Amino acid sequence: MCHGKFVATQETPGGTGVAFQSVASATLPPMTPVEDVMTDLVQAATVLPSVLTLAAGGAAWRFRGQRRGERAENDRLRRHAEEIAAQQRAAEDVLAQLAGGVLPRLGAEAERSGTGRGADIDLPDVLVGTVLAQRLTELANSAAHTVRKVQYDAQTSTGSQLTEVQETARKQVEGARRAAEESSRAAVRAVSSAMVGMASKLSQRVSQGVRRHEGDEAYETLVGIDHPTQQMLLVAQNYVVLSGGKLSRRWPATPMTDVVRAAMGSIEEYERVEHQELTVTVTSRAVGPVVHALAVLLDNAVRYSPASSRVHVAFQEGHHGVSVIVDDAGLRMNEEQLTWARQILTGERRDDVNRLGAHPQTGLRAAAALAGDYGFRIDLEAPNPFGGTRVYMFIPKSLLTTSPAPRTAPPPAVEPEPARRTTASGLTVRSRKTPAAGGRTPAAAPESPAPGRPSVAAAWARGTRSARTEDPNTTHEGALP
Amino acid sequence: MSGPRRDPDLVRPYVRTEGRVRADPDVRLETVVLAASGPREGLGADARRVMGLFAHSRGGGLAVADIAAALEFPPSTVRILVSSLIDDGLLTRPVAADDDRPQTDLLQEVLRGLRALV
Repeated sequence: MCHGKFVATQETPGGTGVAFQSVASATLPPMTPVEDVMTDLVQAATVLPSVLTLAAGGAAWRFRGQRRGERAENDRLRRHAEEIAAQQRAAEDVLAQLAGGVLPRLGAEAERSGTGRGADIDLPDVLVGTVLAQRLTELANSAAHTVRKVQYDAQTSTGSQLTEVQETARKQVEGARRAAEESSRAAVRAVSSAMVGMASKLSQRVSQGVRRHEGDEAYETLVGIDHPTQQMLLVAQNYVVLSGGKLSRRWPATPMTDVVRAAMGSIEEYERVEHQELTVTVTSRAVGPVVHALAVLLDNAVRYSPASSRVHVAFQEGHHGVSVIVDDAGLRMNEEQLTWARQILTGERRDDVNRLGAHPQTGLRAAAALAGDYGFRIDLEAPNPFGGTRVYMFIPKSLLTTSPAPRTAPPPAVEPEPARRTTASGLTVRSRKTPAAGGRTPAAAPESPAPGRPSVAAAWARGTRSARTEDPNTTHEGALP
Repeated sequence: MSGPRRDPDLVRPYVRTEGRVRADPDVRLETVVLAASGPREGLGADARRVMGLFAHSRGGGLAVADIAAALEFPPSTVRILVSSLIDDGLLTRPVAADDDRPQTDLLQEVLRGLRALV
């Protein structure tokens, strides 16, 4: 006979269910076959009724015992089911917690781009220590990790993309700005160079005209044209310099005295400038820049001082060069203006043509740029003994020459002169290789006729002489070479 | 001097004449002037140059045209400069007995002087 029985193990706190155990036992004594048959028959006759009753009673008892076991089993199963149901409810709660609280919170943290740690979930007691709890916690942590990783990736990639975009934008803006500056500088240079070219030509024509026509009216008119022309040249040259161009006009080496007087020619109210004289000569290369810078300084001095006051120009010869000192009796600059002007003039601020502002002080900036390019220095101080401003312009020895300016020989006339001209006083001005058209002038001799040249004087001498001789054609002096 | 066409007047005529634009109408190109005194302190650079020419004229006169040619100044500019010097009493016009025509030998002298300058 076999008995199978299962034992419900005591539930341990760490266990999850029930363990089944079966025990089998066999208890039959060994017997011989003959004896067995005999005894069995005898015993059967005698024992059978009692055996039957016993069997019946045993069966009844066994049946009752079996019912009791089933009841216990049912209870156990019910408890187990209840327990599982509780765990399931708890799991649902935790899942609801995950879905309704923990995961949205992780999302919110991701949006805030803050720093969170693991996902915190409240585990009900029934779930504590269960595999389910472990899995749920892992799930929540994994979700938290994923969210943070996504958040981190998003941040870093957004950040790097943003930096990249900003960098690109900055480069593009910089490039566009440079292109715009370059093009505006080129435009300014083109316009101002063209203006300088035209004004130079006008200036030359006026010079020629002044030498050619010595009638009072003509002279007055020409000079009236010349003065604004020189001022226009000054302004146009300022812009040429500030837009990176060079002064195009060339001059011979010139003594300081004439440098100052050349500068005076470019400003309004030049009559108010009083200057010393100095024979120290500026080299040909530096004459243009020095004259321009000095004109700017004189213009400033005259413009910003009372109309009745004088502007003084003095020279100070030093070991290393010559200082030109310009004093005005103008309004005293305040500290700020003084600092600004000094910064401009000493080249500490080199603003280019694109950053001139609403009231461009182009002159001072151009003077500073020329000083920087050619190696002379400009500085400023206030107040001077007249209560105004004093400007120093230091010209180093390298821009000076000790040899006096070469006495310029009359330049060869490059343009044919008109056939015959008469001065205001009725004097005939002779022309090169031009036959006398009206027959009034005697036979022409080859000569250089530029007005104001020695040849003119010679012509005049011949003219006056022939006027006093009987025969105008007999006593001509030979033409001057 | 050779080279590209160059403006001969770095110093403009109106600066030389200190703003004066009209010459004395009696000072013409052929007008001969004499030095009334030596150069004086406080003269302008060009006035001094004009006066400097008379140092070589041995007391003789110079015509305005001579001065212009010697200094390579525009004739009108010299007329104005000479007018100013006459006003200042540094130059005079000789009172000519027979109008103000210059003497032939004076002119010869001028011409020689000019040639010497050239």
